[in-house]
Amino acid sequence: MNTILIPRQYKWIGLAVFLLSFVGLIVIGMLYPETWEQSEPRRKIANVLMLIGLLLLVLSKERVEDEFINDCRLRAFRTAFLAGIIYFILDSADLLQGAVIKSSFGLLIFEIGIYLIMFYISKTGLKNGEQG
Amino acid sequence: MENRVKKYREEAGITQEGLAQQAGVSRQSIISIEKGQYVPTTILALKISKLLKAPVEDLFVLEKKDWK
Repeated sequence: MNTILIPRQYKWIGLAVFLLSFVGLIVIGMLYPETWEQSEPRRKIANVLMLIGLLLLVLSKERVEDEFINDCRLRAFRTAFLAGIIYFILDSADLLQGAVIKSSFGLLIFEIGIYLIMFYISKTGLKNGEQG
Repeated sequence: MENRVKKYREEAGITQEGLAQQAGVSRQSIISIEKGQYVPTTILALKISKLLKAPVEDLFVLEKKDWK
């Protein structure tokens, strides 16, 4: 399977973009409380930057790209996709009262977060104890 | 599926890192294969078999449950 990926250094650029926009959003939100509104332009820009950062993180190559990494990627995508659908169903049925995720942006961040966690768990073998 | 990659690798005196480099994969891949967490593709299985100078059917052995 050939996966289109970007060079490895974009992982760090993506992480930096995500962290800077996340911290920036918090700082601006403290200075201007209206920023917490979803429709506020500064909030929207920060949200888009956070997503771009995470996208760079997800799409960048690993040190060694092989079939095992592709398998980890596939499993992580599957889990994240299913988690997103389950969340959406539960939310639609009003079973998630007081949930933190209240927008499509939140759902995307949730899915990418699940993807990244699952990918690193699969990659490092954390699920099954110590490495051989 | 039972696999005996670790046994054959140790008998051949090759490290996980060495085997990974020769097969063109990461060390993590070899670790996952040896622990049975990951079943390699035919191409990688054949590469490992050549590198360890062992028949592929000795390295990877089907178990009863694999037939279900």
